[in-house]
Amino acid sequence: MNWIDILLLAAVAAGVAAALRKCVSDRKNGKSCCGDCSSCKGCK
Amino acid sequence: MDIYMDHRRSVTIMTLKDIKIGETAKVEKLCGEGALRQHFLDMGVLPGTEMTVVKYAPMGDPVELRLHGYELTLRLADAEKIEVTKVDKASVKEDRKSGKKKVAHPGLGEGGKFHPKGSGKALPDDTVLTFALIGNQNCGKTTLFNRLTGSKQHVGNFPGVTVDRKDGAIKGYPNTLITDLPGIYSMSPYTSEEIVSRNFVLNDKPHAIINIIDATNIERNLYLTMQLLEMDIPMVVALNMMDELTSNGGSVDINAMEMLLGVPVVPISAAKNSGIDELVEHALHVAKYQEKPLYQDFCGKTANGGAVHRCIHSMEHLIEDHAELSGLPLRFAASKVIEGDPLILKQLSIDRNEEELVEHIVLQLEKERGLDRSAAIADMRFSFILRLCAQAVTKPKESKEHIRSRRIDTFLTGKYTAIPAFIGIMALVFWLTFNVIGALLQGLCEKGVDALTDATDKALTNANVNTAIHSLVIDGIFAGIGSVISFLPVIVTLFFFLSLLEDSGYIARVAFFMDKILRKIGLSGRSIVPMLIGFGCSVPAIMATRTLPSERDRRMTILLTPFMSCTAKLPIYAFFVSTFFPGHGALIMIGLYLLGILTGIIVALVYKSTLFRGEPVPFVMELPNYRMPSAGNVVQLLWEKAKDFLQRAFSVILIATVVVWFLQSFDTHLNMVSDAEDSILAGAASLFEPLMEPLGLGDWRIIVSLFSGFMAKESVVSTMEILFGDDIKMYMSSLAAGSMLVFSLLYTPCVAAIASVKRELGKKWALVVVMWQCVIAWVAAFAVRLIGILIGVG
Repeated sequence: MNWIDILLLAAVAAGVAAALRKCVSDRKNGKSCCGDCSSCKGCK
Repeated sequence: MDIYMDHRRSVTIMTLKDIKIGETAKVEKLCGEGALRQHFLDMGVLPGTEMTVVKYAPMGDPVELRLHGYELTLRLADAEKIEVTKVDKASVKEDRKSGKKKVAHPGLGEGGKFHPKGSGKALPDDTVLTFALIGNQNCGKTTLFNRLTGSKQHVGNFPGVTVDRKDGAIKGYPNTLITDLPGIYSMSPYTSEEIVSRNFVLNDKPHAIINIIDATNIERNLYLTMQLLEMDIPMVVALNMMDELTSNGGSVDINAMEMLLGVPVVPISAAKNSGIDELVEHALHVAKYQEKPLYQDFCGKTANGGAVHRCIHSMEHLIEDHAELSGLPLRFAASKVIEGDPLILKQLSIDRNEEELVEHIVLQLEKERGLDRSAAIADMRFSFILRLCAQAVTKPKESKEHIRSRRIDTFLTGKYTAIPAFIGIMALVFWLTFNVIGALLQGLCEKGVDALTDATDKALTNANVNTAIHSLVIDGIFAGIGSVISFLPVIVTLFFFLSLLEDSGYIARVAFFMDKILRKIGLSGRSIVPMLIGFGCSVPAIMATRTLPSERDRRMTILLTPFMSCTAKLPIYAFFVSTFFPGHGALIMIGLYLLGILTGIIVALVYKSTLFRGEPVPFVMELPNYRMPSAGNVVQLLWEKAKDFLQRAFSVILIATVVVWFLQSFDTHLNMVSDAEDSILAGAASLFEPLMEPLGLGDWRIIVSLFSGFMAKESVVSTMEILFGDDIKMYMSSLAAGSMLVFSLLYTPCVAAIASVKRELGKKWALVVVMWQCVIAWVAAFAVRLIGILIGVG
């Protein structure tokens, strides 16, 4: 593994972690949602 | 009911159903009972009210009426319950004269004469001032809410866009909290929204109410105001759409209106952002100093012999202690007890002896007034409103917007043109989306994604990146997310057209003329609104069913909405069409949409004769004027959709693609596999192969893709792209592709939609929807395969 491999892997891991965090926070806020917040009238 | 002669008065009594287009009739008696009757009264259908028949829906039912300056639609079966006498055309005249005299400005809500600044019981400075924004449906509440808070809630042009409360702070005043409540016509518990709004005011006790009124339809809007005044909470009236009123020759004497209502009245135009600052100023003042309405007593001691006056006041004395104990405003509770509101009666918990007293008092009212209890109270309110309008309002001539709407309606809701126009409009929307605009933009998007993938691929190859990481980036993330992103333009384009239809006011018309057809499958015309939204996304569609006043209709509509193919399924259709059936895009897409609708109809008929027996809810709805969709509103909606789609692509779908890539690249010992057939994923999915084999979908990769679709429908395509690469045609026949399309159309909705079903109907129903739809999808896909084999395809 060279440094580019490590960098790429870290980037993917960070991306997945951020995505997971968003999914979890959406769920916590009750927005288990399609994110369609404009017409969804509040996923509560 | 037959037409008969009232010999005492020498008039012919008939029902509203017998009145022809253009004729005017005066209501003599409102038959029927219960919540619907109360709703009619709240909408202004009172003995003595004159109503003109505007038109009948293309199939002869429902009927559109004009009363109190607005249009109301109702079914013939309900029109039959209204006894009327014909009114000679010559006697029908519009009262546009204004016999007003100068009235001093009462200075309410601004430290004026009645409430000098600082004289009230001011709330502590650190109090978060809470406001309820209440008004009739489609009077501009959400537009005003957006103006007040700076938020960007979606605004529509059909009654009932807001189905849930929304909170926000007033711009520049962080210590405030304003709640946008669903539009209601009265404080009677007719729909679940009315109960939501009423309970908010009664239980959350906001510091003040901002009551928004459509100034172009003042009579009916003031009916709710009258009831809000009874709540004994500081209030400001916002007279919205004043620009429209004045441009059509109407006007309102604001001082006189304030004087009569006893609360501040502020003329505004939420759409044009005028009068908002003044409204905020008044609202903050009445809330801070707790300046309650000056008057609640509108019954008039001498009006109609004073029967209503005496009844209300004796009722107030009788239930005073109960109202205090249960925390209900006295005047409101007294009116509701007279009307026989079951929820309030229960809350007051009056004893048997008092119940008998109530009955005696109300019977005396009915005897003296010559009207039943509910009609007497509604009549008292409307009588006051008429007096107020006579003194303070100069009615406008027919507005430009109304004339335009009438002209458009001769075609769009015409007897012979409505249905063909609807089919034509929907066909045009789909054609433009899938074959012209959306397809063109999609092609460009695909080219961009391909170019980026190639460039990254080359860069990674040149940089000698590890094979596994190279595969993760290119075969996993780029293939997965890239394939989904290329469908963004199609989805945004379809939402663009749906939002145009909604904003223009056309969808309300569709509900009007589709009512008779929908009734045949056990639904009401209002169910068409959630169903059309369902073509966009099932989640808001399921939420939108809250506007339906009957639980039976609501449940049935929720269960049928997932059959309306949502935009998230578009990538699946587009992927299979472009791979297996190029050149037949529109045909197959429209076919799939129609199949979804057809299946929905069949299922509805099954529900109608099994789970949901009985009659659909009565159709009582207001038809808004057509309006030009606001460019800002449409652009904002499209931006929201695009943002939402991209967020999903980079959250749920990113995770799904990485997980799928991992599971298909490694075996159970975490060794990278050269053939995906040996992967963890293949092993797990092969358990379901026997079940899917009869559909021609026994390949483990297809099964995995369908499973990923439960998370988000777009994932089906990204997963297939990862698992099959570009050579899907080698593994799948055209017939299997057809079977896959039908299965994808009908099988379980995504987890977000199921969560909405769970929220609305409970866990049991959510589970039923998942299982039931999978069974239906399996049967339909099997039928497609069987027919295909029989006719020798594939």
